[in-house]
Amino acid sequence: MKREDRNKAIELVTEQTLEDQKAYCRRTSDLTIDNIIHDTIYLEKKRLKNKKRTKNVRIDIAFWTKTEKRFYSAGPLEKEEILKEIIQNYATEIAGGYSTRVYNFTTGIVPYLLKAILVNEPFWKLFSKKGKEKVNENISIIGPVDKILKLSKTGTLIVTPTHQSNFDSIVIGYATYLTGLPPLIYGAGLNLFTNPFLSYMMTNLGAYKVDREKKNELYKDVLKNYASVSLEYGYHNLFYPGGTRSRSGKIEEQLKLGLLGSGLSTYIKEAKQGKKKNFYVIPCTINYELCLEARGLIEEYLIEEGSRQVILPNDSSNKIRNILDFAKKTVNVDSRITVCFGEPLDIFGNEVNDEGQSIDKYSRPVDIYKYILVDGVPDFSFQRDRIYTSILGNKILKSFLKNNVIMDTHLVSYALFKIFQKKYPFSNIFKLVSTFGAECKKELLLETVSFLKEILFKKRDNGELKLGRVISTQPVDIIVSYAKHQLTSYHGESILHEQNDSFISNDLITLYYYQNKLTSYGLEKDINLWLQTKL
Amino acid sequence: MAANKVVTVIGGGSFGTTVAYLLAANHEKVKLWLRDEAVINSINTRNENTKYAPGITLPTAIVATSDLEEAVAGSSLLFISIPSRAFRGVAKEIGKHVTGDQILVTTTKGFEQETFKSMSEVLAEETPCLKIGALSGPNFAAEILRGKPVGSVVASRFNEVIEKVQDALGGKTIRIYGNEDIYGVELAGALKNIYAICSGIIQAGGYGENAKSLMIARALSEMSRFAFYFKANPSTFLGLAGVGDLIATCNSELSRNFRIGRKLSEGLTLEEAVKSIGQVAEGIYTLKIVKEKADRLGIHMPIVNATYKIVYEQKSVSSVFEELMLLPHRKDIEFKFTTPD
Repeated sequence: MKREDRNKAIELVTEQTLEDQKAYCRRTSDLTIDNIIHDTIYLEKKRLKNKKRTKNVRIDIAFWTKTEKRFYSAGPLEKEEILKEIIQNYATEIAGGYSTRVYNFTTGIVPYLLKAILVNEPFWKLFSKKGKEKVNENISIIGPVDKILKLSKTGTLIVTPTHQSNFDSIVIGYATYLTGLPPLIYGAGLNLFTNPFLSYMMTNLGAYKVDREKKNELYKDVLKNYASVSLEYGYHNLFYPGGTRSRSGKIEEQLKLGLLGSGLSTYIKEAKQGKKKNFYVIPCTINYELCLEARGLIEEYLIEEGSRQVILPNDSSNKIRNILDFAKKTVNVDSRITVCFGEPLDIFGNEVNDEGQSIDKYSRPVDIYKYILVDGVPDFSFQRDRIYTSILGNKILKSFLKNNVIMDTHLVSYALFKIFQKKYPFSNIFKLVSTFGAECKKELLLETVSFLKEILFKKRDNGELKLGRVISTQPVDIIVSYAKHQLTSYHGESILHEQNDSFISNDLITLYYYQNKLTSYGLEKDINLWLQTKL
Repeated sequence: MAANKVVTVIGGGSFGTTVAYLLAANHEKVKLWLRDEAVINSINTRNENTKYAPGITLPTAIVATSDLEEAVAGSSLLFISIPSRAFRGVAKEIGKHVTGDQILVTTTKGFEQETFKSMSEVLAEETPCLKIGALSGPNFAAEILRGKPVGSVVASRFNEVIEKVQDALGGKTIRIYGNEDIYGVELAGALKNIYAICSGIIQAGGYGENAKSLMIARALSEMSRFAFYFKANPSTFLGLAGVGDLIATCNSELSRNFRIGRKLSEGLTLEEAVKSIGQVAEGIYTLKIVKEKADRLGIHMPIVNATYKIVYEQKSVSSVFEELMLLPHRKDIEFKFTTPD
């Protein structure tokens, strides 16, 4: 958010959140301002209890200790003042430090930094014309970009991408730059701001801070109101509706609706003041042939699924060393990324035409203003609006599925994993992924990939999913050898190596991650039946 | 009287007419849309639906029309009572005229054959309306029209829809309960028709009350099993739309599906049985799609299979029932409902 808007926005967020809390108390007979403050202090102290005493943590502890002391001796008026201060403290923390000057500078630099990470060219060549062509080869942007560009001029965009990697925000930032889309502001996990490299880029590309360790409802309300206020100011927003990165590698199956609902609440708020503003939701998938954090994410997923709630402290994308390592490896890998924008939706999940008019499936115009009427006038309705947002969420999920780009690494991992599942019938997935030396005949893998490719082509033709360039254009043997090259170049030989006429894998965990991108399309029955005839 | 004075019912069959009859107690005007000009004329001039509710004097608040646009305009609440096979076509037409502030409630107990979509899903696809509900339960039109007490369930994700339907329909002879599980309610309403056919077969075959109770109880297990697979709430089947409707429809000559079953058991072909009833019996279509779906997904539904063999494969009732009785033993209760701490 621009500096000139930032302070006013903090003020508005504070006012709005305070009003919301009072409204909750009015609606819920056994909820008081005392409860809200007390619960927030309790949860904050609990959060800070075992944290390493960094400078910021010490400041936080001092704030909450002082606030608690004041709270216990305060009268009703002062308590409201305390609540306001807590809210203001949160709002100030969340607000990003965007400035147009720095944004322009950063967008100038970011493409070259990205090229350094993503392109198989020496750094000095990146500034050349050839380097630019190379980056265009490796990052594809597909979907109705011209339409989105047009809509960005008549309304406010809410871009809602899938979330697989901490690089997503950078990739989206770069994609918006390449396509000429306006800058987006977005909430990024606080952990990303601990890394100076990412923090610099995040902040100056418009990021505001989201601390996922803060679980209290008050903080979530402040966050939601910050997003709403930024939309009110006309800032194009980016939310990850899945909340956090997909641990499993699967396309999102459930969304967190809190932030997503801010589009609707802003729309109603404006309508109540007699204004009609347009908000457009742009679902979007970010698809990596290789994922920086694949191994770490899938390990977390397996631990969670195994019912042991463990948060792994070392996130591989937080360490500058790991990023450089990733960059170095990807330089040799020539990895591909596809950003796929879906059809723009309104905040109720209807599609919109080029002019921004909401339409139904027969392209008949839909008057969305009617959705928010209560006894003929626009108004909020907590339960109704929650369901509206859930309907929008379902439409976004459908768009994710349709615009999920299946790449060679996913297809080959899926084929291998299904073969291993059939060949080694362990009682559960945890035992299977711990297997070393899983072996598959080359011929069987080629046949299986060929079988799956045919199904995927049909699904692509039916508009159920999208396929990457290698799968779409290359024969099966090339797909397999290319995917193997990609996977081993980044994850090492343990994921897959050849031995005589077989492929051997000692890293089914990482294979599991990549194969999961294909698990939402009901392929299991067909592939299992087919493999029954082969194994 | 409900705040909105005008409501609409789309479909002038027996249940559509019944819903209009109930609504007339709480509204100044009930617009009833149907195509048959002779019936429209009889409703508007003689207050009688001569085809689907002969002998019943309808309230004068009911005004029949064949103009869909006129029927839809100005009503905040619309009930759609169209057979499942014609439902999408009519829904598409409705979609041309409705706006997003209007509430649509389906009363049709069936699923679309080609897509296995519920009627509320069809409404969501074919119209711009989001506030959609489904009305279900043990609701024989003939009893309601004679003023006998009845209970229904209205299901919707929107509280507003539940409350508005309760206000619009509720009265001294009808209680309306609410449920958020719209898919479960619609599934229950559609599935029970299959078991009504089976019950008719049992009744006419003289298999006795024990056999009928056995079938009804196991039908409830089958329905819950099927619903669970589709992420509906199995406990919905313990309510009016599930066990309530199942008991009524499996025991009454008023149920068309029950009568179809009885006629099949008496030796009529399916075509003859349908012809003799003269009205749509949704169960025969639902049976086909549920059988296909259960087979494909591997859901254990022996009563559906048995009924299918009798209805569509002309297998003898005795041999099919014998097969059913000789199936491996199973547990009585499959789902455990835990109470909150």
